[in-house]
Amino acid sequence: MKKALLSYVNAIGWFNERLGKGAGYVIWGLAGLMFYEAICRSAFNAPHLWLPEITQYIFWGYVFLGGGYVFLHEGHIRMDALYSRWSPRRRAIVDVATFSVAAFYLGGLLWKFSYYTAISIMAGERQACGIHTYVGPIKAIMVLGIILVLLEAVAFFIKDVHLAISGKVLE
Amino acid sequence: MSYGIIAGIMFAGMVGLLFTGQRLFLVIGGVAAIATATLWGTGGLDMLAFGSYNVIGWWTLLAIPQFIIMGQLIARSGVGEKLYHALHLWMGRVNGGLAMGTVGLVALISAMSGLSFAATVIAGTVALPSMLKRKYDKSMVVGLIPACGSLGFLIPPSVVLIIYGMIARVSIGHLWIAGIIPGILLAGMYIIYIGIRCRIQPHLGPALPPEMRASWGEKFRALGAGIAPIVLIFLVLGLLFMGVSSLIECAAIGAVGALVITAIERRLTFNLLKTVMDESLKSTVMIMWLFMAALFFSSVFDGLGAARSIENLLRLAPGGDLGIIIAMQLSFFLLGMVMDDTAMLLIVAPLYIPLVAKMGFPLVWYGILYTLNCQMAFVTPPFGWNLFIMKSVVPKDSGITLADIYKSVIPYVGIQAACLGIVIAFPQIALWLPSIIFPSG
Repeated sequence: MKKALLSYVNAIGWFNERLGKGAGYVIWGLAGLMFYEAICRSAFNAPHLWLPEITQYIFWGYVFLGGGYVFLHEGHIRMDALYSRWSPRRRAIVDVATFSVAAFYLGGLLWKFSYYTAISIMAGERQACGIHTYVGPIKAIMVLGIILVLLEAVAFFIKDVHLAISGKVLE
Repeated sequence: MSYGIIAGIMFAGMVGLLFTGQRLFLVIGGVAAIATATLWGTGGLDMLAFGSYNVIGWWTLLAIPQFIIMGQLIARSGVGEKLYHALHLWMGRVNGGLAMGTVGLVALISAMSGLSFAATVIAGTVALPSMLKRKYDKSMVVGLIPACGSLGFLIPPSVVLIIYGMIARVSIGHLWIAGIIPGILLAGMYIIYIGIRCRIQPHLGPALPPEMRASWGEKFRALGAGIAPIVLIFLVLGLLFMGVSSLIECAAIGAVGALVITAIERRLTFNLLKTVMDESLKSTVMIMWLFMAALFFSSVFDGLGAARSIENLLRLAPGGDLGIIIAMQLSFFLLGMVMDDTAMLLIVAPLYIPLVAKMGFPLVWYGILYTLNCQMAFVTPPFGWNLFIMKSVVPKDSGITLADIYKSVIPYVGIQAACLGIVIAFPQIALWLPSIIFPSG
């Protein structure tokens, strides 16, 4: 049992680590495209119709696929006035206690996002302006990002439960 | 049960959960989701998807990661050292001159970076050791750096003002321009304060001895350090304000420009790029997930008619409409003691902005007030972000403790409060420059 849980925690962590490291590079693509557009548009008066949509998709892929990585590295701010003074075990106990609230939000996000993504794909929803790209793929990527954050949150929950019960870090 | 009471319970639940130290975006989103599901059933949760899709549609948000990466690069590019060296040569002969130069350095760095931390880090690592070596009193300088480090909120490009502009639906160009004069005013107030104190107590900031002063030739050669920053500031802000490029394009120009400056300074390594990418991803993802959760929370709150409850509560403040504005500032100040600036902005601003608009106050002015308040929040003990950043960059052997920083920052918080008071009393300080540059409004 313990072994299975540990391999789950490690596997999710491994995947999010790789994906996040990869997603980090995307910022250069975004800045590069916008820089190129700045020159084309203001110097040569030749803006690109596809650019707003594509850069927007890149940005939201960046934000959603980076979600699990940032979660893994504790990048999300906490109000740590009290939290930072507690022992690791006490932190784990409190995090376990508040997990239901967190899970409710992430679960709700996953449910509604996947529902409307499915509708979007089935209906063949397209952007209303620009080059009318299909919206389905980027919405699916967002769902994937939410799933990864949820899986990472569960991995943290497992680690916290273990620490809370046994007083030892899961390893 | 009245909606006001439900809204009250929701807010209290959120604040209570915040103290458990759970991740902020999960607390805000979770409380709002639970409230929605209980009040309006599972259909209400549709707001989760639609609220987020709404945020996703705001193209301006793309500017944020690019300004973040620009700030990250500038902080590590080494231009700070060169600029400080120049200021050092020019200001060394005045009592307190290095401290005044530090204010100037921070203002320049702030104009090259969208976040406030870059200026604090540069001033803390470059200016502080040099001032301590010249026998500047720590009680004056260790508080100065975190305090004026937060000038970055006010001086464009400012990410905080982008977020405010998106929530309040006002032009970000207007906001940025509105921040310039208050920013200069605040910097000027710091400089005057240092000048007066060092005149009365010269031991706090002794002038350089005559034999260490630089010749005119050296002084002019040192000015070369200013060329790259001024070109960058012109490309980013100048082109934006002249209407040549859009906000997002400016952000991209800034990011690429910062990359070029780092390369010219020969600091550009693969490891540096990796650190910069990592930090930018973390800041951007954190802000965006928090943004989605906070807007969901505030739309649920709106649905409950909480704006009216808050208005009724604030109407208890004496002094009519202006009394309400002042009461809001006090609430920002108190929240700022325990909350991060972005979180405070995202949670509280959507609740206050409709009321401010209804009372007929200009939202641009209100944004500047919020930003000035943010600066105070950033440096008020016990939980000031910039104070912790400062503590992490002071030289280990200097013997400076967090208590020293707390004590030293108090007069500067007083200056910030005075500046806030001045801008409340004379809104034209913020509104005059935008009215000149955008005469049609």
